[in-house]
Amino acid sequence: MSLRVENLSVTFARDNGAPLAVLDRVSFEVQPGEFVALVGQSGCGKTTILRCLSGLQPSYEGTMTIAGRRLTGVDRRVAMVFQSDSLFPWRTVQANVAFGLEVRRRGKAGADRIVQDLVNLVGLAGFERAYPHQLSGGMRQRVNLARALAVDPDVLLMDEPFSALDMLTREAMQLELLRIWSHRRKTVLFVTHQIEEAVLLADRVLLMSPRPGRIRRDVPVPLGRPRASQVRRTREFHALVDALAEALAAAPLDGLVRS
Amino acid sequence: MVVARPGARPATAARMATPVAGVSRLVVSGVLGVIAWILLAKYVVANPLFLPTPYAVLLAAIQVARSGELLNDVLVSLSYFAVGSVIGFVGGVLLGVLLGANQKIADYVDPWVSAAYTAPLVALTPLLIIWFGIGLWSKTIIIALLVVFPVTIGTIAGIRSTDRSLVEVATSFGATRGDMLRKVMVPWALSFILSGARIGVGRGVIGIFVAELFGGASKGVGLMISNAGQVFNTPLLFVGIIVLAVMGIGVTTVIRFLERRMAPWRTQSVV
Repeated sequence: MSLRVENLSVTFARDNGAPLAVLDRVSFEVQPGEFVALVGQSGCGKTTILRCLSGLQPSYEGTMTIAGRRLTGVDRRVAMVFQSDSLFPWRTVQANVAFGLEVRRRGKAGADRIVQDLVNLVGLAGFERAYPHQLSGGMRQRVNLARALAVDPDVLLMDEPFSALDMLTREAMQLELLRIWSHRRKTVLFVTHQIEEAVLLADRVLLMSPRPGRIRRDVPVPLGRPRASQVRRTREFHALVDALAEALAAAPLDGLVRS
Repeated sequence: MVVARPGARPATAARMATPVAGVSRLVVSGVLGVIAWILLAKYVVANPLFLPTPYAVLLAAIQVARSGELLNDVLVSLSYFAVGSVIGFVGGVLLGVLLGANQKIADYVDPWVSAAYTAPLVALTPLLIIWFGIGLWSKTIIIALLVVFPVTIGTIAGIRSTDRSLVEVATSFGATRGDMLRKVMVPWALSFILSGARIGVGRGVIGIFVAELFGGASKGVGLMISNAGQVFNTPLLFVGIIVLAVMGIGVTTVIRFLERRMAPWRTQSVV
């Protein structure tokens, strides 16, 4: 389902009274089944876009639609993979994955099947009854991903899901995400501040300027799929990463002058 | 990728090492305490009326235990202590959830809860006896009053400290207010609730003595202590105090065990 964001603006009230513009008329579209990465520095409002889409941001201007139908508040067609894994520590892997289904009142029998399929898909078979504190960071993010996929959303939002992982785990998880996505071809909006990550994963990269956040560039990633870790060593990959890094480096001055 | 095995509990394993050392230190501490007591009673105080030896206390204990009096007293005290604690615990959780989840109501009620927590509620015992008579009800109620507020305060603290990101996860999946309480806030607050219960039960043990002191009871450990005190039967007085202490330690240990069982991801008690 195509996701469309039009003229999304968000302003935070500040203690000193002066309002802080976080997003300024952000517009973009994500095609059905497309993987789009939102890249920008910390504080540029990338996460705020996801919060608007997932219904966690109470006030904003602009419109957001999925397949032409508007998003207002929490919507069943959207699921979010949170930055910190945010698993429920008292729930097993299984029960964490099932959380969304429970809250959305899916019958137990159907839910068990969905949960087991996803646990297998994210590579955690055998860990169904383990608790989050018994898992490594990478495994916890697998559960986090499975929990979002369990409710079968049209649009999957991912908020820097691998930023807390060490580099090796992070690179392994990026490839894992591509593998999982090839099985569950959702429309994905993936937020990151890492250009390599964006290029490796996405079909298109949206570059954002710092506060107030705007979309500066919309860059297609012409790398073929399926992508393996070798893609990182190709010339096209590096050329693209360098070009994006340059474009991103040009942005901050703009923002500094403004604030 | 595979760092942890299912069923492997690194936190628990670390904790398992400590109790072994902990138990041996506990034994040493107990033996040293008894030796110090003997020396103090025999050579420093040297007056069995002021301070009996552990041996005299043991003899007194055996005597009341044989006659069946002790068991009878313990059962009577334990019965209203248990009922009062359960009432206080349930009431505390309900009140705590209500206040923890509703800021507006909490603004009105919080000061009263804090006041009731700090106030020496045992002083109300004579009044409760006027209201509810000298039977078990007045004693049950005083125990419940002593237990309810620590549990309330623990529950409020737990509910309010719920990890914001977990609340957002639940919100983003469309959790109702009931889901939020049942599936997120109360499970999060569980160890805070049990810590409150631990403190409450400790206060409740003091309540046993005070309630029976005022209460004109015919049976009970508190009564046994006050009777022994009036006739200067110091060994028996010590038996009573030790019995109450053992009851307190017993219940506290059970609650600590539950805290660990139910919140294995927390490596330490929250209070």
